[in-house]
Amino acid sequence: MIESLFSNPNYEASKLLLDATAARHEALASNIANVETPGYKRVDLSKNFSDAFSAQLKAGDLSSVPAPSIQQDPTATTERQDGNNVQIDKELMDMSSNSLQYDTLTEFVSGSLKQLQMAITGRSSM
Amino acid sequence: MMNLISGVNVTASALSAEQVRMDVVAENIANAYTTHGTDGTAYKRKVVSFESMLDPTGTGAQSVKVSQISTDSTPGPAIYDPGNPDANKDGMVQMPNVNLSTEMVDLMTASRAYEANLAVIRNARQMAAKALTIGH
Amino acid sequence: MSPIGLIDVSSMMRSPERVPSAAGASGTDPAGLGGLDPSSLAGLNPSNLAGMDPSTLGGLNPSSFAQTLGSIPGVTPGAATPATSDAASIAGGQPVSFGNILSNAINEVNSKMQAADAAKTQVLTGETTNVHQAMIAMQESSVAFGLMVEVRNKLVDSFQELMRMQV
Repeated sequence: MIESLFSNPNYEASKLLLDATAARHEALASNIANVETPGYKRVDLSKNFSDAFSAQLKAGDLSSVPAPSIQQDPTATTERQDGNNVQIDKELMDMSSNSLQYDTLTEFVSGSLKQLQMAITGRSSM
Repeated sequence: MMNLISGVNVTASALSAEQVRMDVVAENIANAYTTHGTDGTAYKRKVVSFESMLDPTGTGAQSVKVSQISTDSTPGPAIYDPGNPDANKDGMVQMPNVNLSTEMVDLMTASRAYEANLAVIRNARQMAAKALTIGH
Repeated sequence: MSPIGLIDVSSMMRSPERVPSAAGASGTDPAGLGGLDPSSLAGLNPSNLAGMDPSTLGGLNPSSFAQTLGSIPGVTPGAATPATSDAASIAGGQPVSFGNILSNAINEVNSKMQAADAAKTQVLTGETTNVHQAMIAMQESSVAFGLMVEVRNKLVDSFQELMRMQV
């Protein structure tokens, strides 16, 4: 009875994506920190996770999606002379949109919870 | 202790590394015309090397550290200035190997990287603050 | 809270079909009394009700409440009437008992609260920087607990409503 309150697929997807967004922030922070390090290759969210998540979002079984993790980005190719392939402008833009994504997901999750609270007590806070 | 801002180790390491780099560049610029250093010879510019290492929290992010501050031993230009107290018997003075434009570019790069890392910390803090409003 | 007191209430709930048999077919045993036929109305005296203490419902210990409700189905000392039905058929003939539903729900609320505690511990010890997980877990357990409290309030209100019923 209680578990079914929280089994809205959008709500569960938002929770999972919040984890992924927080992990991606760490990846982008690592890239920006190492923009001057020779030989550093940029990292990002693992492809396993992104592909599995998009597939399961439509299929509806989010429990089979692996936990979000960080790995080296195989698609980044432009290297500078010292072997570093981080483009700082792109990283900063990605970080800005990632932060916005986190805010959006927080609003989604928060909205669902507030709706439940309102439904149960008839008031907007418990 | 509680660790509320994600990636704080990584970003803090970058901030201190860039700070070291700016200090070294400032020293190079200040000594661009020092013909008689502490060891009696012209000043030799210092170079900072960065190195990345895997962050102990195990997420795959890498923090950065200064691996060494080495001295650039390529000789600087020698100019003809017989009136200079440091001139040798031919009237040539050995100048430091500091190239001001290179140093200025380094300073700008380090400064930009520092500000980028500050932006990262600001973002992380905003994300954490937003997370605390869930449900309210 | 005395289980017997509560059974009195439930046998009162069952007894409407016994009213026509007011002419002496009481079949109640004096100890478990509570039937609505006039002969046992005398049994419905305030001292009986005193055994049924509403304030213990107020200071409800969820697990004993569930236990007590779960004990409704089988326990009716001596009042073996054809109309003896357990809570299941009161609920409309479904094969689950209200006591089970309630105790499952309470277990789920408990596990939500434990999950929230675990998430909080993770944040306190610095194991994770995912504050959002702890916040979400806390809000979910608060919602679940709030639902339980509202259900309990409704049950208490209906019980009190029942007690106020004129016979």
